[in-house]
This record gives sequence, structure tokens and C-alpha cells, in this order.
Amino acid sequence: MARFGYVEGTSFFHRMDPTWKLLWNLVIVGMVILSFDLLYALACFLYVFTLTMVVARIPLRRYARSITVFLGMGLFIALWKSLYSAWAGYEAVHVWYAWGPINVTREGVYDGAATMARVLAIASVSLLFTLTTDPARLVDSLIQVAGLPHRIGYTAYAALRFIPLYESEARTIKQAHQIRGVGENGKGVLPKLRLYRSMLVPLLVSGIRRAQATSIAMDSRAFGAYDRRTVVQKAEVSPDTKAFVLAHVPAAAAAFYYFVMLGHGVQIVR
Amino acid sequence: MTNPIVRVSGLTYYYEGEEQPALRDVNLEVHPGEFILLIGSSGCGKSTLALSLNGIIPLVLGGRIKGRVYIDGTDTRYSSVHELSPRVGIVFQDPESQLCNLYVDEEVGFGPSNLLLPPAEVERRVDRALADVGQKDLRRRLIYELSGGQKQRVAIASVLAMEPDVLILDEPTANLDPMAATRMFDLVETISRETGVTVILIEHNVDRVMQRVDRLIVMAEGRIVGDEHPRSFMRERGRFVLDVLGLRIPQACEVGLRMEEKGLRLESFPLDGIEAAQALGSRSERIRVRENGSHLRRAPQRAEPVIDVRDLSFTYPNGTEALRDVSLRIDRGDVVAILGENGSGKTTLSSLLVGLNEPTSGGGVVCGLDIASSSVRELSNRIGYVFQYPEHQFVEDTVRDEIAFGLRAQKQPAAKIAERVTRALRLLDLEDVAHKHPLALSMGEKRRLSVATMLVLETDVLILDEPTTGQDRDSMDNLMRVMMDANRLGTTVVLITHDMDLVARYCNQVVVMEEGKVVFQGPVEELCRSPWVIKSGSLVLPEVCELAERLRRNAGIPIGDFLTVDAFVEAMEVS
Repeated sequence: MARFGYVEGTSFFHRMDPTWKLLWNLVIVGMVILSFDLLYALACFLYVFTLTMVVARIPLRRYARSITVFLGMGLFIALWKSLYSAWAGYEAVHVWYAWGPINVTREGVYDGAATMARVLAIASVSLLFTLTTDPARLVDSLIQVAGLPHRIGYTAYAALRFIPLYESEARTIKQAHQIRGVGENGKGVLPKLRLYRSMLVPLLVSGIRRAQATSIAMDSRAFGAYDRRTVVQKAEVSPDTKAFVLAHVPAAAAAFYYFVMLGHGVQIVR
Repeated sequence: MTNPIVRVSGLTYYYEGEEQPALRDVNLEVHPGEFILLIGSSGCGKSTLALSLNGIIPLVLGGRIKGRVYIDGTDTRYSSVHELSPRVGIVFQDPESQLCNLYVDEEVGFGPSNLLLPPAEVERRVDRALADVGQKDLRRRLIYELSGGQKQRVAIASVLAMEPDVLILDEPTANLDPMAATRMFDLVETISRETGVTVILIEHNVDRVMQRVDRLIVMAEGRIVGDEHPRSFMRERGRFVLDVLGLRIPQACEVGLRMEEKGLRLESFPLDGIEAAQALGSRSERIRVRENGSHLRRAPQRAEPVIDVRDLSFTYPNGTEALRDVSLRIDRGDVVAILGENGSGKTTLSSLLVGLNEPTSGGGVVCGLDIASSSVRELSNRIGYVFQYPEHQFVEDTVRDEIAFGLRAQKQPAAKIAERVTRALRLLDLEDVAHKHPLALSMGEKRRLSVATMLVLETDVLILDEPTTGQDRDSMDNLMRVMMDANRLGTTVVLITHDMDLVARYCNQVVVMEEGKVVFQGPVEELCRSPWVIKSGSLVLPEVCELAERLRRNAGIPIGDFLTVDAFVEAMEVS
């Protein structure tokens, strides 16, 4: 949770309306998925990375902690694609090394690297969102700007508040079961699986009980009495937010035209 | 007399799918401004009654209901929760489950916003409610960063912001350390006196409450069995509450009852330590103190250490320094309490002793094993650990299998397992439920089962984390009897607890922790003479301890230190 959580700040991205920021996210993600080109995806990643460092002023160490998960995921995919190249049977493929099921081709390695760059590009824009968005403001904005029914918005919000709680509860239950001798030290695949299996029921039971208690407590304070609630924090969309998001739309359109309409995007094998 | 704000007549209620009623023919009138204490054993219907006052029962939870509940003349059956919730507010036992926002101000403003009050009014109420609970500066804080006591205060503020006529508090001190609990009672009394709101306080922990309230209601098995001013009720029927219902009564009341049984009629029946000191002091001419008037035991001879650790430090991965240079020696056969306020490192220390965490620095020996290099498995064969919430530790589908689990993991012969399991079932009175699913048991049974799963392993040391959670006096005493039997056979018992009465009655050694350090280790008796320890551990001495002190100081009765009512009363001779 804390790994991806909100980092306080006052930058442009922090002040941006969350719903519009989400729209901007979609635009960038849309741009990234249009092409399989390595340099293009890398350029997208570097662009967002620069915004994160220079404009949003997220500390590099903090950022590194969050991005490493995706880096690991990307590396795994890249390695997989490089070793088991899907283009093995095609013509005009540059095979570098082949042994049994393993088939390393120039195209496979390129494809792996490009996929990794895309994963990073998409991850970086999502991270920029989560790192600069206060969940409380996100809910306010989704309800006020995006018109989400407040019951749904609020319930999701309440769920968010319980994540740290469940994390600590899961830790406690894990320890409680280790003491009983389940899953030894929690090392190795099998003991781990055994431990997770036995943790499941207590975790579910306490989760359900907590959810019940919470819903009674929320009802007891008139939650859902009306279709609306008082807006204390008014969500406002500033003109520069709109300008920033809209400015990216032509770039996305251009990318769409170039890669899809002109057909550059599908040329993977060169 | 004013019109009652709450009127309950002939209320009987069955939860959905239940055959037994949770409430049976309850009749009750509550008048504006009253401060009421509601007591009863767990599962007697206290919380059910609370939920039926704000309409959650039957409007949300359904079930079958007979009889009527009127709030300020309105029949709850034909009202709605959002009409009733601004009139009757409930603060629930576990603050964690009822706080549903990230920030304090959102939480406190949650109810008023649901009622569509204008923004300025919401803000005003947030300010006022936070001021009422003395936490104005928490306004923009994140809730999950707050301490347990602060969370409980925010929960109270969030209900006060609805400006209810009736405020119900359902065991608000259950998760607090003694000092925080005492402050909580001060706060509740202040709210009652200053805002004029009607308060119904549900509590197990009655020592510092009884004297403050206007009225005491006692429930048993879904019925109201007593409803009177506490003073007259405690004098006339305190024995019944203590012996028949198995509930706690204030130590001052217990002293009062037993002194009157000895033939010393007290002018005014005491409800707290101060009153007891006055009542006894005024009859000092008839009181003789036996011998030197102190029950304090001689410290036992030092035996061999079973836990001997030095300079333990531990820092969590997130950087929290939980323990700093903790050295601790516990001897075989001791009954030791680890005390200290929430977050002082008690649980972390025990997690190191059983090998769940490895010390960042320092080390030592537990039951002959080096804690730094031994695995959880090796250690847990020698040292048992009963977690605070029994459900957390259950892994099997029946009570019998649950108890056998640890023995099977140790690969003990089947015959031996069967014999030990049967004995444990009998010892902890679980024979009738042996075939049931552990999670289907009552709270008391679950607690006994969790103890049985550890006891059956016959470990050298047994650690119990907060064994009093959700327990009545009676079930607690039964549990402790079993622990003491094990102790006589050589098991060393370690209790992590806030319950000073429990400590006074059963422990011979105490360890007090503060901010990750051990600030005191020694015989229980020495606690009485070490006010600084009491303060640093956020502890509150048993009332009888303060009573003895007052008698000595104010009435000139030459009396020593006492930690338990039994010892105190035994030392008193009435002429």
C-alpha cells in the first residue's frame, strides 16, 4: 500500500483535478498501446518520467521503490520473449542461438525490450497518478466532476481505508499460524502455500465481520439517507488543468494517425 | 418529571435465523440528561439493546421483534435509520471498524454531510465535536496514524457531530491501556455534564465508573435484572452481581460488601476508593489491622532462568524502532506480567522470544535455545503463544482436531495424542463442543480453545497476549485457574495485559515497558511503592491499593500495601 501511496506535495500534478488527471492518464496509455516500437515506448516513458521528477517533484528514491515492481515484471516478460521467440518458424528471422525449446532471435529480443518499455511507460503514468493523488480528493472529484453515485464512490473509499488494516491483520494471522507450526518458517513454495491456505478462512471471517461492523456504523450515521451528501470540499477544475489535458489530445491523435492509419504500428519485424 | 427520551416496552427480539431471543421482554425508560451505566456478561443483549434504540434493529438487521421502542415519542418501527441516527448515536467497541474515512475532519463531518446540512454547519459541527473530545489539533490528520485512544475520541466526536439526544458508548475502553481508559471515563463524564446529552455507557471495566453515574442497569440473558441507583443497588445486590452473574463490581464495592458482612455497617456505601477510605476511616475505632497489616509476599528464591535475553533491539523494516536494549530474565515457575501502554513494545518483545522476528542486535537464551539462531518451529515446541484474538490462530475444522494439530505436527504417537487431547478437552470444559467448528464457538469457548491448543503441547513457557479481551470475570477466573494448575506443574506463565486486577491476583513478577525499553522489572508488590513506574507505564493501580494508601494517610490506620481485595479484607479485624 505505502509503496504506491500518495506523496504529499503542492505541484501542478498535485493540484490537478483527479478526474481530469485520470483522463490524461487514459490519453497517454492510449498513445503507448498504439505502437510496438521500442524507441517510441521509451520516449513516452522518458517523457512521463521527466514530468514526475521535474514537475511533480517526487523524490527519486521514493519513485524507485514503486517502479521496481514493474521493472521486475517487465524484465521477466522481456527475458521470456527473448528466450522463447515466437518468430522461430518465420522466414527472414535472425536466429542468434537455438537449443531445444530455447530460441533466441534478434526479433524476439527486440520485441521483449519493446514490451518492457511499454510496461514501464504505462506503469510510470499510473504511478504519477497514484503518487500525486490524495484518495480523498479522488473520491470527491469522481463524485462531483465525473458524476459517480456517492454510495459507490464512498464504499470504495471506505474499502481503501481498510487496506492497511487488512495488511496488518494478515501479518498477525500469518504469525499466529506459524506459531501453530503451519508452514514452518514460511520459506519455500510448499510451506508458503500451506500457510496461505490456512490463513484464508480466518482472514475472510474477520473481513466479513469487519465489513458488517463498518456498514452498521456507517448506517448509524445516516449514510445513504439522501441521494446526495453535503459537499464540503468542492472539487474544482482549473483552466490550466483542462489546457494541459487537452494539449495532449492532438499528440495522441497524431500518434493514432501515424501508427494506425499509415500502418507504421504493425511493422514489428524489420 | 420530564417525558422520557427513550421508552422501551415489552421488547423481545430474535436475530434473523435465531431460535433464542437476544432480548426478552425489556422495559426501560430513559430521561433526558441521565448518565447510565449498563453492565452484563458478554452475549447478554447489551449491544442488541443499543442497536434497537437507533433503529438498526429492526430496520437494517431485520429479525423478529415484539414490543415497542419509542424515541422521543416516535415508534422506531415506522421511522427510518436516518431519522433516528441524529437522535441516538452509538460509538462502537472497535474504533477501527467504525472509522471509514482517511482524514479526521471527513470522519467527524461524515454524519452531518449525510444529513445534507449546509457546508458551514458541517464545519461548525466538526470544530465543536473535536473540541468536545479535546482533539482540535487532530483535524487534518490521517486516521490510521492515530493512537488507539485518539481513534476512540475521533469516533466519539463523529457521533457527537450528529448532535444526538442520546449517546451510547459500547465498551469504549476495551482496546485502551489503563491510563487512556481512565482519561476516557473523565471525558465521558465531562460530555455528560457539560453538553447535557443523555449517556448510556456499556462497560466491563467498572472500577472508575460506578461513582460517576446516576443509574445502573444490569442485564442477564436478554433481560434487565436490575435498574437502580448504583449505591443502593451495589449494597443490596452487589453479591448477586458478583457471585451469580459473575460480573466485575468496583473493588470499593467489594470491600464495602465484605466489611459489612464482617459486621461493620458503613454509613454510606462506597462506590470508589475515595468513598471507601472515608467510610472505613469514619469507623476506624472499630477496625484493627492484623499483624503488620501487609500481605506482601517474600520474594521467592531465585530459580534457574528460563528466559534470559540481553540488550535486545529490534527495528521494523519501515524504520520503527520497537525495542531498544531490552534485557530480561524470567525464572522457571514465575507468573510474569508484561505491562505498558499500547505501542510500548510488549508484543514485539514476545514475537522475538518465540522467534517470529529476529533481533536487530542482542540475543539470549529461551528454554535453552539461542533465539537468534533457532527457528519458530524449534522455539514453539518449548514456548507457547496464545494470540489476543483466538480466531487468528485456528487452523482446523473441529475443536478436537484443533487441539490435536500441534501434537500431530510434532509427530507424537496417536495414542498419546488422543490421551492428551481428551484431557485438554476436559480441563477446559470443551467436551460438549469437541465436534464443532472452532469458529462456531462462543467467545469464551474460543478463548479456552486457543489456550487448550497451546497447553496440550506442555511447553516450558506459555505467553498469553491480552487474555482478558472479551472475557467476563467468571470465564477469566476459570481460565486463570487452569493456568495456575499448569504453573504448579512447572509451566512459566507470561501475561501481556492491561488488567491490573488480574496482575495483582495472579502474578508474582512484573515487567513494565515504555517506548521500547524495560523501565522496571521486579516483584508485583514493589509496584505500589514505585509511583514513577506506574506513571511511565501508563498504569493505574488497583483501587484497593489506593484505598490502603488513603487510610494510612488520612485516617491514620497503620496499614501496609495491598493489591487484592481478598488480602485487604483478611487483614481487617472488626471489633
